[in-house]
Amino acid sequence: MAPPSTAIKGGPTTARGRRTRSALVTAAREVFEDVGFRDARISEIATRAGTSYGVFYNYFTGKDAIFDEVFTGVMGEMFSASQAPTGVGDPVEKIRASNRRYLTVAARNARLIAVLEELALRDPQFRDLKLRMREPFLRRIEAGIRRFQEQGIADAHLDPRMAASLLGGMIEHFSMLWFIHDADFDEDVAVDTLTRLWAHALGLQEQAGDDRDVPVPATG
Amino acid sequence: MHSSPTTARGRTTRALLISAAREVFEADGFHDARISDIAERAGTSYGLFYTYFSSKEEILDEVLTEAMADFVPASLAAAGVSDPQERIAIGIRRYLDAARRHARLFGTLEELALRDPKFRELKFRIRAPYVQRIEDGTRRLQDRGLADQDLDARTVATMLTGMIEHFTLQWFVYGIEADEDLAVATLTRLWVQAIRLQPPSG
Repeated sequence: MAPPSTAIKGGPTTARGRRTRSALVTAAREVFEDVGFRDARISEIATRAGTSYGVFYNYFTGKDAIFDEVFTGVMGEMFSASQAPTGVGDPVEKIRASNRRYLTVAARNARLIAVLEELALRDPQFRDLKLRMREPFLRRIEAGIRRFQEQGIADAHLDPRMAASLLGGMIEHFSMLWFIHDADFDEDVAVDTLTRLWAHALGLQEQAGDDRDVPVPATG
Repeated sequence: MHSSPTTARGRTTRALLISAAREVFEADGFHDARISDIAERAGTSYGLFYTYFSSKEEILDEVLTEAMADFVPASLAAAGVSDPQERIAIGIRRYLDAARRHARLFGTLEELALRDPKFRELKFRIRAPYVQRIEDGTRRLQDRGLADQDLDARTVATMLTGMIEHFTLQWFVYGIEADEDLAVATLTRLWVQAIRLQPPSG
């Protein structure tokens, strides 16, 4: 076993080590957002984190490794922030709340997502990263559709995996148009339309008629 | 913008340049594409390129406009088909066929648009007529009482075309596996149900 001091990818064991590592991840994120991946320089990341080029390599094997780490963090944040709220019983309201939450957190992270998108279009390694990041979202939507189907409230003829991929793609694509390409949309109309399209598409039966005013759930 | 060539020979050269540019963009991407390669592949010269186009951007615009023409049948009602659901299914199948043919090219545009606002504008302009036709079609269905009138037709068109656009990118550019029949069936069902399409009365 290698001693901890030479274990490159093991987590740092001291508080100071953890602080440095986390400063590097934060700095890397900023640099990637500013200049993209290819033009990002490790020396710039290290300087911005208040440390040195050499120290960077105590924590990460390279730019790929820290990019992966930045992304895993962002996706984790997006995944939990877009979770449907507990305590909301009506399936349509659940969808509405999680659509709104997804758009909120996607707006915050749009710049970085665009960096990955751009890389993924050209490079298989980043495409795999992108698909890996997407997978938990798809699985969550798929599980939700399956549950609705089992409860007999959603269209049983839909293939849950394919429907999840398509409906997930719809919101993903829309958020890129909105936040990266600066298309002009009204948030309430966007959330409402997304929610209706999802609910109708899945054949969800709304509990008290379609046109009642629904309270908008509080979001962060 | 240069004016269109007036002679048959000029039109031929221009068309050859466009199709050569398409091949070069697909092979090398936009940034690495060289005008000399485009000219050579079209059997003409570097200097002559500039008789027809002022820049690489301008010919890209032309290449994309031509490719988008291939999507027109996907957004027009299929001749002789009156059932709206059947029309949507045919439109989706046609879209997928066109998207398959042009996947590389639109992958390149997507990449450019993610980086550069100038290409973002191009991307919007190129897809706008398609989205507009979907919006008009949705509105017609709403006017006839065949689709949910509470939906905002513009936003619906953006979102539903986004669903299919996103899927084709996944399928044809990222190479994820998908069964075509299942894809068409699911896209159609989601689309039809999303707008609450009613069967025509009578």
